Amino acid sequence: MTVSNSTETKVPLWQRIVIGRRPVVTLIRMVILVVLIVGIYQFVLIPVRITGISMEPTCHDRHVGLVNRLSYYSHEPERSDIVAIKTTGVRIMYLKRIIGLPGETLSISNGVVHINGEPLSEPYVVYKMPWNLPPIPLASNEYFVIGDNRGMPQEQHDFGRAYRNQIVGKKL
Amino acid sequence: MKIIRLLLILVGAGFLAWLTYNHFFPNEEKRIRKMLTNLASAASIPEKKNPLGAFSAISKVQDCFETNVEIKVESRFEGFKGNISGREELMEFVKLAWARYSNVKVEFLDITVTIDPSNDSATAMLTTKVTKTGERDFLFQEFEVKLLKHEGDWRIAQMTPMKVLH
Repeated sequence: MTVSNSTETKVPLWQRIVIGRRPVVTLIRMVILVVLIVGIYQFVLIPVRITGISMEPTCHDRHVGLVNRLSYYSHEPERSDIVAIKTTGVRIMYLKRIIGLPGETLSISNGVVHINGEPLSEPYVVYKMPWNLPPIPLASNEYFVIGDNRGMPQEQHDFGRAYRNQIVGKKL
Repeated sequence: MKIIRLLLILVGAGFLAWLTYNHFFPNEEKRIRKMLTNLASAASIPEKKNPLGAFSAISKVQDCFETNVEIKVESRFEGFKGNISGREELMEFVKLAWARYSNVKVEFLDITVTIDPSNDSATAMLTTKVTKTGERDFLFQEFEVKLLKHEGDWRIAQMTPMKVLH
């Protein structure tokens, strides 16, 4: 027994190119694709545009990037991770580097970060001014975050403790 | 088949009725969100200013605040550091802003509203974003906003900056 696909031959070429041989299947594929893309960009990868110079030279002003919301699903944030921290939501976020972990005591002396009294090696810091910060103990749910650009005046730089539930994800 | 069609029509009609009801009788949270959105719109300053538009916008802003409103602004807003006490002082500030600036867009983003059990006071957390139209850079500040309801209208009684990184 032979079967011939009579509909296939009747579909004009332009229609096959634009909406495919079976429009319903094409529509279902499009819907699945759109749902997948929206889902990924809403719940997994957040596109961000960087504004400001506080993360120079690692992240440049007006560059775009992605934040992975699932980064800390299986493990906790680690030192030197660049993370997005939400404000009252995720429309505007801070992009900072984690330098202090829960339970640690952090201080800055003449631009050098000390963790529990030991100097921290920070190869990502290129510009440095003699910043000073008295010892700050971090609670069990607090991380200390700061930008890489320490060449700007300390009072113009947003940094400090962030709660774990404020960390949205890791910058890719 | 007829039953399915009837069911679909009933579901559609029910959805439309629900939308209509919500539009004409919004709950308190929606009313606060709408008031804040209107306030952001009125606080924005267009490129082409005219006295009538300015008067209308300023009176709209005035209607959103209590007479004894307290607003604290932190130094991230260069030149706007300090406290604003009372609606009169706020209006002077708004008039000055209208005279000095143009092309300024104000937005309230990521609004979270909590209505108190008494139903006549509420707290809103929001991020204020101020952009000069056409420019990519912007100023932002997170605020905790206390609202009170008087004669059915919600008004802002207090705005305090929040520190995300403490």
